[in-house]
Amino acid sequence: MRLIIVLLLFSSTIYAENAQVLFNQAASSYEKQDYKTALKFFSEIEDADLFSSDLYYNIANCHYKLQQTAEAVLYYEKALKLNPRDEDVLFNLQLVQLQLVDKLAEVPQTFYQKWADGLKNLRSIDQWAKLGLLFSFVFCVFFMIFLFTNTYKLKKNAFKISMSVLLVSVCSLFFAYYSHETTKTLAVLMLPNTYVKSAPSTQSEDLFILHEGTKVQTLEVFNQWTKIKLSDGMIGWIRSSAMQEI
Amino acid sequence: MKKRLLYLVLLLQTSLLLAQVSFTAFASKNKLGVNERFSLTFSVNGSGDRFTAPDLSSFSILSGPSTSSSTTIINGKVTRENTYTYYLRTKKIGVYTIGSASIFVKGRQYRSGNVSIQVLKTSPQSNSIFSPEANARENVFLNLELSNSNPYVGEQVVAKYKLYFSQEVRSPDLLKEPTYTGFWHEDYDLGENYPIQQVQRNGKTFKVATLKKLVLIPQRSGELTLDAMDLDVPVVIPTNQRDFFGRIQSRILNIVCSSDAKVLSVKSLPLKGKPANFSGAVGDFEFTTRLDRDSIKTNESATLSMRVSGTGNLRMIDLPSFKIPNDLEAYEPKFKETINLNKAGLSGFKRVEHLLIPRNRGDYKVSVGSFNYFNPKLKKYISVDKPSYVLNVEGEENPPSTSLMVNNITKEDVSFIGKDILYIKTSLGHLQDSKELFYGSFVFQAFLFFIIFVLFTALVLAYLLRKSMIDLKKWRRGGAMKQAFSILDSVSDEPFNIIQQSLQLYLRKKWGLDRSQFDKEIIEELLISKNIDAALVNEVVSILESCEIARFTQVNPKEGIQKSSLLNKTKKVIERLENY
Repeated sequence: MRLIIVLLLFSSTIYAENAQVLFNQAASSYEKQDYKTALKFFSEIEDADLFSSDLYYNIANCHYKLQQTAEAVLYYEKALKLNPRDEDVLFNLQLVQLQLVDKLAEVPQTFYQKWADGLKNLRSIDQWAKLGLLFSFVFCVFFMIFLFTNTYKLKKNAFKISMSVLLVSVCSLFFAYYSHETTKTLAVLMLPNTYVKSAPSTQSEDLFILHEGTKVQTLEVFNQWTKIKLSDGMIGWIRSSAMQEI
Repeated sequence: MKKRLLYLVLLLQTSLLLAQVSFTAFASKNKLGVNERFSLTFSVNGSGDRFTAPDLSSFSILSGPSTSSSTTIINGKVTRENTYTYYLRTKKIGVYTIGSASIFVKGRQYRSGNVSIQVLKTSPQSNSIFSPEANARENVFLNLELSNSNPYVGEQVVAKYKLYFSQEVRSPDLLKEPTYTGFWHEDYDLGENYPIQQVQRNGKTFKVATLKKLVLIPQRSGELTLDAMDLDVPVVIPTNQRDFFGRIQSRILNIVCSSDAKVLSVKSLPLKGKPANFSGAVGDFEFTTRLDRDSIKTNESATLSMRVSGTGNLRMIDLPSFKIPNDLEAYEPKFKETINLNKAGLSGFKRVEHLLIPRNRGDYKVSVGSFNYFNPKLKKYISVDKPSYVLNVEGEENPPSTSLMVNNITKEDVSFIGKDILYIKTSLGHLQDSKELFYGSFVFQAFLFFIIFVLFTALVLAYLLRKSMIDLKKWRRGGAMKQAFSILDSVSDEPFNIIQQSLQLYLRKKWGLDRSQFDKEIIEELLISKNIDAALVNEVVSILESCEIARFTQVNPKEGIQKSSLLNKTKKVIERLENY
């Protein structure tokens, strides 16, 4: 208990070392099935602007155990954003989604969309971005060799290598862009239920009701309202406060 | 009296015509009014069988045939007589002929004669003012009272059929029920005994009994007619005779009382201000809704009810429906209505009750919409709006720290029922300290820009390099003259071209000029403008000219003397130009 107070006092100045201490505390609380305390410790790490895919995953687990489905979904999605291939996250998210009220049909994807998504999910946005920059640097080097050498053979090979490296670089940057574009507009509904309106005003017609934990795509923001799109293609306006961006 | 006399005659006749079989038909009256009763008797002396009655469809049969037989023994002679009696009532004005009836007596068929009946509008007996019937007609009459003869469509009208009488009457029979075409109607239950009141009418005291009271609701606009109701009223008429004890004997006279047909002019409901979803309710109503609880836990129940009460065409109205979201499980609504007939007409209430059981957490809106009706008294439409209710549904309380299993799984194709989520990660993983993505950050952009910049610079460099490859090689060595000379020295294949070029290069380099401006004339002008003396200018021009001539005419291009002399000449010219 004393430790908690001390930690709370210094919570604003947590660094990586302290984060590890907090993390261990949280893990032991979780093991003792004291999910509330575990969540508090995990959240402290997050509040100190330190985060990782694993931390988000643990927070999500705590929320799930506390039956806070919407928060659980939000944090699993956050974890996935950092590490799109984590199997634990994917498994748990799938399980949580079974408990959601809204069952939305996915709009069927074409095969190239599936391929692109599969490739995209191999790395996180930042990994793709770094990879892209690295390869573009390599491209630069080879291209310069191509430009300024006088030896015919070297010129030819440098050109070939530089062009293939350019392709890889452009693809990586594209995946980073694509991944960013698809995830930056995603949000999770946090309120138990939300009325989706036809227009951004309270007087407008109610179109349908959504429930907590449903993932939506945000299209447009107007005053305190956000235009959303569901995975099955339905569109409407909800209050921006009803959701949280991933 | 007449009847009796006739019977007597008949009796005499039968005794006179002993052996002969006679089959006769006889009506008690031959001239009578509409709805008047009479009896039709067929009598046969002797025992007959297989009596077949004539067609009596022009009359309504009140009773019959009733048979009676009498046996008379006079001086040992036995006479039998059979009578078949019908009690009939006239229906319509006209002259009717009752056909012959047939009967078999001892195997032989006998037929009766025809009887003619004349039906008049009013009973002929009532024509004389002082007849008891006419008197009774004045003292007994039926009246229809309407609470409103100019109602709106759907507005209820209370109709009362009242029998006024100042003479003693017995309980009347209903002859003809009026038809209520164009109306919806409902009768009041008046009970067994009609309450009797006394009223003054035309200076005479009448007793009034309400025989029939009903609510009429017009279903369409226009002139709607209520037909007359016909009653057969037995009126007690005192006679002059007295009985054994000295009491005045009375007899009963059946008279027909008809109410007048009444026409109601029904107004249609005004179009002005008519709501689009008008419920059809006309009257004075009160509309209430109720939700018994505001806050509820999942799987508990709440009751939502709606009630319309008041006076009006309650039976004909539909209650508005609730808009209940799918998350609230609503059971089949329970309907209840209690509608009574009172002084004003139909009144009471209609109620609908919904049992709601929420399955998910959240705030749910239950809206009612509005109930509207037309108030005929105020002559306007009234709309009662009810605000929507918000039902706050909380989740069931769960102990926070138990091993929770996946429950409430309703989706199909579930492969792992009862499985728990995976355990937390035991390591913190790679910690990041900034929410900012590397992608799109300043460093990322700067790096990308840097790479693009480097690439661009390299490309430009390479282009420039390639473009001025010759220049670079040849001009690396220094001064203009030296270069020009070196070019001139290396002249081998195309001497004149090179000479021209080198001269041009020299001039350009010396005065920093553009290559495109290099015409012979421009050079001439340029040299003059530089204050070079005319002889030298001419020499330069002549060199350029001879080069051009040599190039274009191809006149012995490899001629050594001309070439070397031109070369030397050029060198001299350049040497001289160098002084300027």
